This record gives sequence, C-alpha cells and structure tokens, in this order.
Amino acid sequence: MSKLEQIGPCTYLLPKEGGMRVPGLVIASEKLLADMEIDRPLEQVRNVAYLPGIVGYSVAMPDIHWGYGFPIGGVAAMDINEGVISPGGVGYDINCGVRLAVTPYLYDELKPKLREKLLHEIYHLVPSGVGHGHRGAGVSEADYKALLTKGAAWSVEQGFGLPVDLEHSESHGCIEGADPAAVSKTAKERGHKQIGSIGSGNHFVELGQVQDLFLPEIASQWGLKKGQLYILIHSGSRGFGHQVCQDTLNTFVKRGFAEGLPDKQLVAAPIKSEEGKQYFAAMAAAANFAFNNRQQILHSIRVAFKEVLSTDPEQIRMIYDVCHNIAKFEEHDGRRLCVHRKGATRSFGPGHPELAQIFQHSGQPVLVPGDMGRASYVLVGLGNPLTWSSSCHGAGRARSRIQSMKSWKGREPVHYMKQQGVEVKASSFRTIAEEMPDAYKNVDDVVVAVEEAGLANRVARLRPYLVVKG
Amino acid sequence: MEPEHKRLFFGLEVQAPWPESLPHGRILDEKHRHLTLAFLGDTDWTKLKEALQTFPTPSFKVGFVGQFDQCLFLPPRHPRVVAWHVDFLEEDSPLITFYETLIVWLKEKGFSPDTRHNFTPHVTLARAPFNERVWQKKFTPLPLLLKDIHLYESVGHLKYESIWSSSLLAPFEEISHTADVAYWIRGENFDQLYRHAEVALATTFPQILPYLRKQNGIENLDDVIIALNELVAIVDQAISSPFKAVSFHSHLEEKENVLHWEMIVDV
Repeated sequence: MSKLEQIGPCTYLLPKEGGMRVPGLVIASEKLLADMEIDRPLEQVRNVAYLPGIVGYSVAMPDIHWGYGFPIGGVAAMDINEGVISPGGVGYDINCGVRLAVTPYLYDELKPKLREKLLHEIYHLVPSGVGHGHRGAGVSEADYKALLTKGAAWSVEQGFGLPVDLEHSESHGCIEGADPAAVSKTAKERGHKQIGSIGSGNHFVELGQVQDLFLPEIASQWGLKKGQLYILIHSGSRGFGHQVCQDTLNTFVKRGFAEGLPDKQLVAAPIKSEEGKQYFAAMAAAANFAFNNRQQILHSIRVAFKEVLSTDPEQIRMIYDVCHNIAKFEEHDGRRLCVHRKGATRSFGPGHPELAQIFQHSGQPVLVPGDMGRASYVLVGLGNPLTWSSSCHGAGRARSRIQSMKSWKGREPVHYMKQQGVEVKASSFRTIAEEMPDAYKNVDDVVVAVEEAGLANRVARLRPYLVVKG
Repeated sequence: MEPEHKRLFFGLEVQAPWPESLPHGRILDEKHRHLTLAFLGDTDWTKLKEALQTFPTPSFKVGFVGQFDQCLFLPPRHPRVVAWHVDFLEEDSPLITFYETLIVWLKEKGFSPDTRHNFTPHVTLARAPFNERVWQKKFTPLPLLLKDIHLYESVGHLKYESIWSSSLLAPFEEISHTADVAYWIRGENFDQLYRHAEVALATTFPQILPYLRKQNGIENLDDVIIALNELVAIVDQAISSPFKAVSFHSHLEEKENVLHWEMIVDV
C-alpha cells in the first residue's frame, strides 16, 4: 500500500511528495483499504494536492474510487485568493444528491398489494431510464431564468412541494450566485424535458423501512421512527449539469489551463478569474436545476401516495436533501474557502449558522445510500475540521459495470432481488445487472469508518424494499 | 499421400450486440457468425496450407465498423438463408481492395473462389425453414465490428471453425472500469478513432445509431472528445442518453502506427 501512515482511528496520512502542496488524508478502515484497489485513487489524491491554493489536506473518503481528475469521494478546499476552482472537483453530475422523506406509515402495515401498487404508480409517474424522450411541456426560457436562480423554491412556488421542504434542504435548496447567462443553449436544451426525472446509472427512487435506530433521541427530533416507511431519492442535474461541466472543460482545455497538470481532467481556473467566476455561476445554476429535479420527483411521489393511499402531501415530510457533487464557498476557522466535494457530503456539526433551527442542536443529517439490497444510512454531521466538515456519500463500487453485467448475464436479477425481499422496476436489464448489491462495497463498513474517524455518527439504518432504477 | 480436402472459405470475425432471441429458423450460434470474404467450397487443404505462407497482407491493421441495415433472404428467388446486410460506417475501399487482392491471389495459387456474385457484405443468421415476414418485422439496425481474418472450415450442423487466422486489431473493446464504462478504441488516424468510438458507444446503446454522423476536421484527441460529447448532447436531448459525457481522460498510445485510446464515459 502506498505509504499511508495511520494518524488516528480510520485516519491515514498520505505524506507530501513531489509537487504536492499539502499532504493527503485518507479516511478508511484497515479492512476497506485491504479490499479496495487503492493505488489509482491515491494517485488522484496526490494529483489534487498539486492544485494551486489548496489548504489543509487533499481528502479521501472511505467510499473513494477512481474518478475524472479528482477521485470520487474526494474533498479539497481552496483559498479564495490564491486557489482554483475545478470542474473535475465537482464532477459531471453537478449537485448529484440524495433526498430523504418519511411517511406516516409503518412499512409492515402496508399490504403487499398496496406496496406493489405504490411501486407501479411511482414508476409510472416518475420518468426514468433512457432511449426515449420524456413527456411534459418542458421548461421555457422564463422558467429557466427563475428556477436556475431561485433553486427549489421555484418548484415550490409552482405547486411542486411545500415551503417547509426548503428548510430541510442543504443551503435551503439554492446555491447563491447562479447566472443563467453563464449556461450554454445546449445545456438548456438537454435539460428542457428532464426536470423531475431520475435518469439512469446509479440513480434511483427507493422505498423501505427504517430498520434500526442508533441515536434515538436525534432520530426522534428529526421525525424518524423505527419501522417507518421512508422514501429515498438519488438523482442530480441530468444532462443539464453534464453539459455545464463539459462546456467548461472544453473552454478550460482550449485556454491552456490544463498545461503542466498531471491529468487533463484536473483542469482548473483561478477562482478570481473571469473563467473561474463563469464556471461557478454556471455550476450554481446546474446545482439549482438539480434541487428542482429532486423537488419535482418528490412531488410526483407525493401524488402517487395520494392516488394509492389517499395520503395528504403534508404527511410526507422531508428529512433532508444533500448535495454530493458541488463546490461551495464556506467559512472554516475564520477563512473563506471554496470547498470541492466530489462524491462527498457536507456534514456540518451542531450550532452551524447555516443549519435550520431543527438541526441546530444535533448537526445536519448526512444521507448515505448503500445498494438496493442491503442498506442505506442516515448519519448526523460532527463538523470535523480535518475534512472541512465532510463525510462519505455512498458505499462505493466494488466491481466494474462490465464485471457485474457479465456475472448476471443469463440470470434473472429481478427474480433474485425478489427472493431477497426487494421489488425492483427498471426499463433496462443492463441497469439492474450493473447495480446489483454485489457491485458495491458493504455500506455498513463505510459508515463505521466514518463514525470511527469522527466525521459523522450513525442515526438510522434504512432497509430498501421497493426500488425504481433508471 | 491423398490430399486432405475440407470445405473452406475466408471470412472476417464479427461482433455485435446480438439480440437475446431471434425469430424461428436454424440459428447460427453467435460464435459461428462471420462475414464471408471468399468462398472456396471443397478445397485441397494441404495445398492451401502451403500457399498461406504468401497470404496477401492487408493495407489495414485495424478492423472495420458498420451497422446491420437490412434483412436479406438469399438467394432472392428461393431463399435458404436469412442474413443481415452490412453497411460500413467508415471508408470500406481498403477492404474491397483486399477482397479483390485475395481473389486474384487465390486464382494465382490455383484455387477457384466463387465469384459468381458481387461482394455483398452480409452475415448469415439462420437457415431455412424460416418466416420471412417475421424476420423482417423483428429486424432493427445494430452496430457491429469486424476483426481477425479467418480461414473457416464448414464442419456441418451450422458450425464453422477457424483453422487459420491473420490478426486485425479490434476497432474497439469494452473494458472494466470501476464506476463508469470504458473502452479501448483503436484507429490508424484520429478520424478513424472518432468513428470507432462512436460505434463503440452504439454497441452499448444501439438507439444511438441514427444519430451517428460524419465529422470533418478531426485532427487530435481533443477534437475526438469534443465531437463525441456533441453527439452525446444531441442524443440526450432527443431520447435521453445513458452516456452523459466522454471524459478528457487522455491515455493515448501509438504503437506501430495505430492509435490506442482508453475512452472513459461518464454514465
């Protein structure tokens, strides 16, 4: 293993070498380190440490894997005067994130026929998958202007949600500083009919049961109960965000910002440069697109509950919505920094001024989806300064998509999942095969590492039962 | 010693995202499907084996890409086979030239290749009995790649075994990648690299086929990546694409005048 020195529980130092401006910091257990292919992602942790203006550490989370430029599961904070902003530090799917809501029902109370009906209705109402256009009127230029600057509040104004939803969102569902004029026509065209849709890949809507509570007091404050039927949504900014990233990479590469970097995907512009400002304005717009996307997916799910169980929308309460691909300006130790989180979740601790009243005493919820067969987690942030108040974002893949596809070829993954008690709906066999539980690391191991390292504590374990995949 | 006779033909190995099931017929197994270059029939294998030492070298090192664009029933009057016609999605003249060279070479060596028909690139899927209407109805265009040249022996029961090969590099192959999808793309220039990359994407997601387009002015890897991302954007807008972006990851090698690029695609 590449020169890692343990400096604390589940915390390793990757010493400075070559042109690294800061050391690396890896959060992982011995078991996770032994099980993962660590060399390529660690190389990326080192590469990130070369970037101008980076402070503290180039951080890797326990769900780290190889990404574009930055590893997925990477965190890097840049000084706003000296530092750079990198699209590779945010990722293609800008503000890919997770939203958790709870229902007034206990999962076990729902009869199997109703569960099936609910799954069918959600599959019908929430567009997913690829290979076909999505229905709906689409987004006009005027709508774009409003939604890209107001964030999820725009959807709420249009009737796709409740004002209280916004209090339960990271940054209240809006990244300030978005400028629709910084976004290309192509990005807007790609996003035109994609709001309110899951997409494909690892995105999903999942319903299941709150299985275990680790911190019952915090769970109770947040409205989480054992046995409760929950809704978990994982999606991002769809083609809109990808195009913003791609447009920026094209521009940055053409302007020579990649010269001298160990990897072209690390390309970055000074935060204070026109290009840097333009990227931030476009990225914030894409982040706001994503907040609207998850807001409207939740709305469709509320409609499904109304149809099937006559549930009032207010009875479906949001717990939280987190971003896990984002760059944000934040205050840390009195310094204003641009924190890149790529495949990592903000995990502010108790008392952070940005948090809504309900989370002031506890710290913010951190949502960690695992895989569709085992579990997902709700954690509470501890505001650890070593990671710029960041935590993990998921289980992390253990197998490549092609390996998963090959191992399930000729078998019936949907039937297998049913035997495990999980009903899965998806428009493509390939998606299901690629996303089977054995493609992922065990999320239990990941969250234990995060807890031992002091980034976040476990509040609840969620067990999926009904899944819609893209 | 008696000369050893075999039923032989030259052909190219074909790979495609074959459908899980096909209409009724005596179906050729995937591994036996091929594109015939020159049919020899009953042949003196001992003589041909010796002649193969001077087998003509193709002018190309990398195989070809194309799409199955229509269903054929051959021969047209009293069809005995169902085949899919191959429409090349790149310049096919080097292959046509090679076909002509191969025919001349075979004749010079004293063999009698079947030249009754013009070269019609196709891949046989099934033999009679079959229902033409059902096959026609079920047909949808699919991408394909052609690689290695083989001398095949027909061993009966719709089985064809390679008894000699001349290697060509595959235009692309899907490889493992932790989170996304990745391919090795090969080409003799950047233009070809782009074309092969497009068809690689179509092999994973055939609905992209109608959107493939000829691009001019592809001069370097950045041009290839930018053009592929334009394609992804068009498809995403039209029908929602599983590919979200082709990364600027630029692991590019040149070996013996062939470009090898590790293409990683965000999904």
